[in-house]
Amino acid sequence: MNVLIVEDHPLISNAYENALEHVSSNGTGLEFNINKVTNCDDAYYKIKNASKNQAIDIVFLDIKLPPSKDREIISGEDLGVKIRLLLPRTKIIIVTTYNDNYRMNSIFKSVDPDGFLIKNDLSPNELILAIESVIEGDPYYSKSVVRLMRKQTSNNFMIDDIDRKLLYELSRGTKMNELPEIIPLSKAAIERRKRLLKEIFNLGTKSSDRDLLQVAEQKGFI
Amino acid sequence: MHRIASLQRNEKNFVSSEINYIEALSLLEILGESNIIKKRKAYVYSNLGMVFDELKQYEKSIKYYNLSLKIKRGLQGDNQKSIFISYNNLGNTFKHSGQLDKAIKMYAIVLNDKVFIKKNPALYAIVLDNYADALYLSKNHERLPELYLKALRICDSVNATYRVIIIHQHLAEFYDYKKQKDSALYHGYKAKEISEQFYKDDLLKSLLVLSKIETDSTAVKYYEAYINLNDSILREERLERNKFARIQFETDQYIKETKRLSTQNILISVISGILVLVLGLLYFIRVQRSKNKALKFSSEQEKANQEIYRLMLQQHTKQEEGRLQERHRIAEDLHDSVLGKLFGTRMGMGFLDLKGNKGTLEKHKRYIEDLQDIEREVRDISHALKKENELSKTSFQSILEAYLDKQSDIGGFSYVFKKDTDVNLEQLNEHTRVEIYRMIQEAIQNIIKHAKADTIVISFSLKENVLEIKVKDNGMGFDANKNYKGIGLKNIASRVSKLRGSHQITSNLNKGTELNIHIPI
Repeated sequence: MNVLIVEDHPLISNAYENALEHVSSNGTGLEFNINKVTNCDDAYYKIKNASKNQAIDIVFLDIKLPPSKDREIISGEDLGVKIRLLLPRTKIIIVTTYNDNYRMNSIFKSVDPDGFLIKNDLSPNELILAIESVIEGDPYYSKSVVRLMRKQTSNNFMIDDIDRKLLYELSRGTKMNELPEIIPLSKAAIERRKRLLKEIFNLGTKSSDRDLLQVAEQKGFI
Repeated sequence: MHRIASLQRNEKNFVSSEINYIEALSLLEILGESNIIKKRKAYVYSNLGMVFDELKQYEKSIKYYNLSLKIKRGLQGDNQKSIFISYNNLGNTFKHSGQLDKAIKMYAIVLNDKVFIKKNPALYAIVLDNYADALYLSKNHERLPELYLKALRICDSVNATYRVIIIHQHLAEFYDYKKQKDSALYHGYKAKEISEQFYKDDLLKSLLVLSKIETDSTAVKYYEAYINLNDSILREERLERNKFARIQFETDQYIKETKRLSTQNILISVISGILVLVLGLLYFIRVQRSKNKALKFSSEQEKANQEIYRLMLQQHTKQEEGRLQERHRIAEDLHDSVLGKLFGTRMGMGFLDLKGNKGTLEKHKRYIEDLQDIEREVRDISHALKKENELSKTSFQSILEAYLDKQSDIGGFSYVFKKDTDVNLEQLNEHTRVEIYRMIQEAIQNIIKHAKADTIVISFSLKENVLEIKVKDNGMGFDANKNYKGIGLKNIASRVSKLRGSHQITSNLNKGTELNIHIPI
């Protein structure tokens, strides 16, 4: 099987290698042909080449990566989208340190990875387990990812992408004046959404933005 | 004016007297209607009547007497006597003008008032005499000379010697008319005798009467004496008149001088008034200018204050930004680099195919787990650093807290910063924020300098659009009743008043001080 490891830390890519070795020596009989790249440009190049003969089976994808020189691909997420587009049958395992809920949510939507691993949750055994599971065709998600998804489903139908974006921006400390430039809504409409969000989270009208963000964070939206 | 006129009347300068009286009258007219003025007026009218009587313009005289009477009747107080005098005068005028029956009627009015007569025997005698004379002139001799004699008796009894002359004259005339020469002569001499002590006028009359009564040489002698006396009187009168003229002239000059002086006075006062005005204006301008200057200065100070605050804010923002950037960088580094490397190391160690006894392997596994914990910790730290970043504020509150941090280090106290959630310090305008900052600064300075407190509580709350700021310490306090006003407290008071707020200070010795500031917003 052809494996592409997109990871800028050699220590981590070595760990993947080790894990893959473990999998092959575990009696599955699989042979892995491993390619390692450390930045977006190289990764994109490999993906483009591979698409002609469908030669990549599994991609280990880090999210935080040195961006491409033309700045078109700035993260593993963008790469993931490209892979999905060019190599629809390639299995993508995202391994990231991010457990920022908003970011995870967005990655889920855009990339729909086969494996989603949070580095901190990960132990060698779990990594092996995840690889085996993905090769067999079952998706594998880290514990915290599963927890997050469960939390979100309860409120999902009430909170749309714009709400998420709004919460995210607020949590980053973006000022109300700047919001209309980021979110395609007027200031008044944004205020209204904020009020609605407070209602959804059962907060009083007098509650501050800080309260809102606190609850949103607890509920896993940011 | 009316004094002059009276003098002139006595000295027989009747025409001038009339003019002066009229002038006096017009002056009184201006003065209005008070009782005293009315009295004066009546008096002047009465005198005018007398003057016209002497000038033999009887109609006018009667008119003035009537006017006087009218006023006297309208006067307050007891004017009975003066009214009767007027009646008597009126009677005299009628008598002189030949309207004898009218004169008799006038006298009779007075004589019929018995009560009055008893009180004023002198006047009674005069009127009685006049009455008798009027009767004599009207050739009604029935009750004569008894009436004369009665009048004479009364006069003697009240010592009205002057009047006695006239009565004697009248008696002399009467007896002469009745051809009782002895009695006539007796009374004539008596009149002369008495009148010699008094006025020349009456002496003259007495002489005239005597000359008429006496026959032959004595008559001629008396007549000559009469003429002599008359001449001397005329001379005297002329002299008097000259005197009057001189007095008038001197008075005129005096008046002129007064006028000159008064114009000078007016001139001086006008000039000095203008001078005072100019000086006042100059002073006013000076004061205004200095006020303007003070105002300008204070507004400049205000501007400078705001500028300082702005710079402070800017500085603070920059500092904060730098701090945040640095934090961010550390967070990123921890997250991306350190965490990644730790993870890689952990994984690498995990995949090592270690050989050893079971205990060692177990330990190895536990170390790897510890490593994972460390990773989690590092990640949490990184997140915390970033979160602080998200919620950090480059704000008034952080400036206040920064100030308090610094002061608490210097002053060796701990502080608690409380703020109700509905208080939004950032929404206050810059001016208010500067003032609040300064007031808290003053309060803290006071506490450091005097209170020796170890805990300070600063709280902000909002009640009906009034911001309440409380600065409370647990220091030694002071007697707030003693009107203790240091410059710090004064500054606070002036700043509070600038914001149209109010403040109270409550302090208990050894229990601490509490400063309450209320600012409407």
